[in-house]
Amino acid sequence: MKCLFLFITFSFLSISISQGQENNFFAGGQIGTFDMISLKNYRNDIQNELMLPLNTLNNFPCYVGFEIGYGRIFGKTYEVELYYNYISTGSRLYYEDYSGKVYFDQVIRGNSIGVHNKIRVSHSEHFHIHLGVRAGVTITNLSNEFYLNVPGAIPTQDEKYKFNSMNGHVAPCFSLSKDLGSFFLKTELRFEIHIRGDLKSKDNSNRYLTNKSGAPVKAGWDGLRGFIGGGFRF
Amino acid sequence: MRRSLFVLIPIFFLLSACTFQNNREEFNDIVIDESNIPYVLLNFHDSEIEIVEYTKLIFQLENDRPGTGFIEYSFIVDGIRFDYDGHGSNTAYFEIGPNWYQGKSIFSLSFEGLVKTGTGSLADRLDAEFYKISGSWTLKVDNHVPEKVNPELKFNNGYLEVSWNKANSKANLTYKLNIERIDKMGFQAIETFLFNKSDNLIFLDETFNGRKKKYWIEIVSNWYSVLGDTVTFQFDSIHCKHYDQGDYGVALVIDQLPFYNHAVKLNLIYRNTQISEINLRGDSILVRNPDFLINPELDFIFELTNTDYDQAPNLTSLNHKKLLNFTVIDKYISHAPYEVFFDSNRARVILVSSRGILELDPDNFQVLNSTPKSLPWGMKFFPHDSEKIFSVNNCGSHLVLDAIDLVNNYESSSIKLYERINLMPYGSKGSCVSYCADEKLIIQIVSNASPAMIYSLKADEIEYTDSLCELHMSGSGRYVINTKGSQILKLDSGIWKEIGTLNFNGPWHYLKIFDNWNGFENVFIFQDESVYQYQWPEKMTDFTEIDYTSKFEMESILYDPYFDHASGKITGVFFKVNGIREWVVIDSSDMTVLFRFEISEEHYGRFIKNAFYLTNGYILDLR
Repeated sequence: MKCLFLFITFSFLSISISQGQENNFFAGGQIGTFDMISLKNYRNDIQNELMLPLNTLNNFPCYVGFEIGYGRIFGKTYEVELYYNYISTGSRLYYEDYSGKVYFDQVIRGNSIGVHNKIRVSHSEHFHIHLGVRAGVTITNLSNEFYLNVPGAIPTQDEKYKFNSMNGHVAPCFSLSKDLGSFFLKTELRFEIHIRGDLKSKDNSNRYLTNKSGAPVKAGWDGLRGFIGGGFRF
Repeated sequence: MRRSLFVLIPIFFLLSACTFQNNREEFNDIVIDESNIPYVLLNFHDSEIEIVEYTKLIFQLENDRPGTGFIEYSFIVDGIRFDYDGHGSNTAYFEIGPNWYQGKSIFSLSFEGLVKTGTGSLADRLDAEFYKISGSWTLKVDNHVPEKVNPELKFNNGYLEVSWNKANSKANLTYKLNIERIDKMGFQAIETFLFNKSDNLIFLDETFNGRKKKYWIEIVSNWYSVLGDTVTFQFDSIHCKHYDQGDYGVALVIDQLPFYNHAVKLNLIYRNTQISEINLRGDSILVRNPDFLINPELDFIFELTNTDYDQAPNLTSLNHKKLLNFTVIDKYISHAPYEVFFDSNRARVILVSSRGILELDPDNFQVLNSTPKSLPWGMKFFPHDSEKIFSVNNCGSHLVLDAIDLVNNYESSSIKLYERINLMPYGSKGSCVSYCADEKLIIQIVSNASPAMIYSLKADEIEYTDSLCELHMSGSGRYVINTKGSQILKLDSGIWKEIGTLNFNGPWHYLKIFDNWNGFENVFIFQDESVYQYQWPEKMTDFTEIDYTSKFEMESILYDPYFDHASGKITGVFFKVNGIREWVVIDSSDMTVLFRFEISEEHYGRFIKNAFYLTNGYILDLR
């Protein structure tokens, strides 16, 4: 997948440079909200089964990530971007007292690539407003970790289970950018909708994560995303 | 551009480190109360434990604090270790069985256990935080085998009596009295009563009902197990006596039946021939009128058979025969049937009595068929169709509805209508039943102890309608008249609806309804000095009142009028002021007296109910 991404990017870049069109490169940080209902239910199942007074310290909160991309402008209004972004979140069940501690962590990371088609709707010389639609795929890595340590009584348990999945996503976008010579600043707001895939075991792709009722657990990356960053044109 | 790339690549790696990091939390502050540490003081505080009986040793944690309890425990008896999982219980058990007593009476007993701390900590919750407790005892077992006891069980005068051959030296022998109960579905349940031996036990099972059938006694001890006698219910204790009931013939009274509500069958056998078979129900039974020629010098055998339909079939053979020295004081030849009616399909007179069902030829009264299928006194028979007769039997605690098939060799079937203790005292006015056109049975219940009720019955469905005083029903059962309010009720789609009132003032003596006769619904009301007929079309739009008072001298009242639906004729007995009783036949179309003759006072009451005006014109005198 990474090779494919690099191939498309450099092919697109080389064609654009050879044809003398305006191109840009951008990077920045992003923050997002996440649905993750399926994983929350899975965690609640774990909490009920452990019969321990576990507290939920984290519940898939908003968290930061980053995004880089390459864009090309066709004519005066149409622009196409290729992007890669990374985002993560997680949850923790936790209990600790004098006798030991126990926790159950879910750390989930998303790597997305896709194409952003957008139209410039304002024609100010240095200030641009775009409306567009993004579409692409999200590769998810989920790490479940169960840790139990009761010193002197029970051998320490630290078990990690990793899962991968692939989601398809689409997102309507609204973005603003301001030119600063050959550089520019950019901010963007979008809402991602995901078509969710099963979380398959990293060790055995025939196995996938299910909840107590047997339904597949899936990564719910759906939610709002905010981006702020900058780039340069060449 | 290259410089920009060199700047962006480190930023990329910097942001790569922004993977979500989970929070941490300080550990929970749990205070360990050392004064509340569970400790174990077992219930055997002495160093020696004496065992005199097969039992369990019970070791109990004395501070029964929530969250504590045995994680696991072990007993070591003479070096042999027995490990158990405690499951968090505050009690540990160890069974001492007879196999320990073989040739030895003193053992060393040690107890070791792990007890949860109950702090609620993580380790405690995982059974990894505990205290060790232990104790040691000397176990002394009385291994002297006592002399065997042979218990005996029998019924004596209605009481279950348990006895044994000799007293036992052991103080704590436990006896078990088992009572096997079989319910109406055939499921078996065994009740066990434990008692210690003292004196011989007399046991009266006051909860006895028709479902408890079998008793047995057993002893289970350290040393042996004895299964004693087994008895089933017997009828030795039934108190039977006979007496002369005058006009009603020989009566047999059975009272103090020890098995309440048992259904038993009384077979009267004379010279190896079954003469009468009567179903008895209730705890005080009056069997009237054996109704045959009795030789007072002979004895009769009454065979009492359990016929409780709640009982499982495999116990129905547990019968008991009792020979009663039955001396008859008087003898009667006449039949005294409960009910007589005419089977128009087969042109036969049907007599139902305690003796059985007789079919008579209406021309010469010769007996055409005799079926010894008698029914107890108190039943009523209503020949509302030509194939079946119905009766309701008041059993005191419940009613039983019987249907007797006239065509199929008098096969009878019965269902229990409902159970309601003391609904009607036995011997009260009783009940009646009528057969409805829509195949529902309307049951009228009149009682001194409870208000009258109407029940509309179809299959096992009983619909309570209303509390009414006294009711009369038409042949089809569609109309009911409430005599207090003079209301006419009509059964419409299973619901009683008031459709009108009759314009007369009570009291009256008799009231009858003809339905669908001469194209009208008809009500005849006989009062002291008046006879009224009310007619209305079937749709009940208007009444027509006809006063027949002037037709004949109403110096008497018509007692027990019978209306023949086919001919429209009425029969009954006039009680005249001068004391003369006349049996009359009246044409109901105009109340003309067609026939009358005097009956003596001697005969009245005997055959007033046996007089019957039949469709084919016969008047049946069954003296």
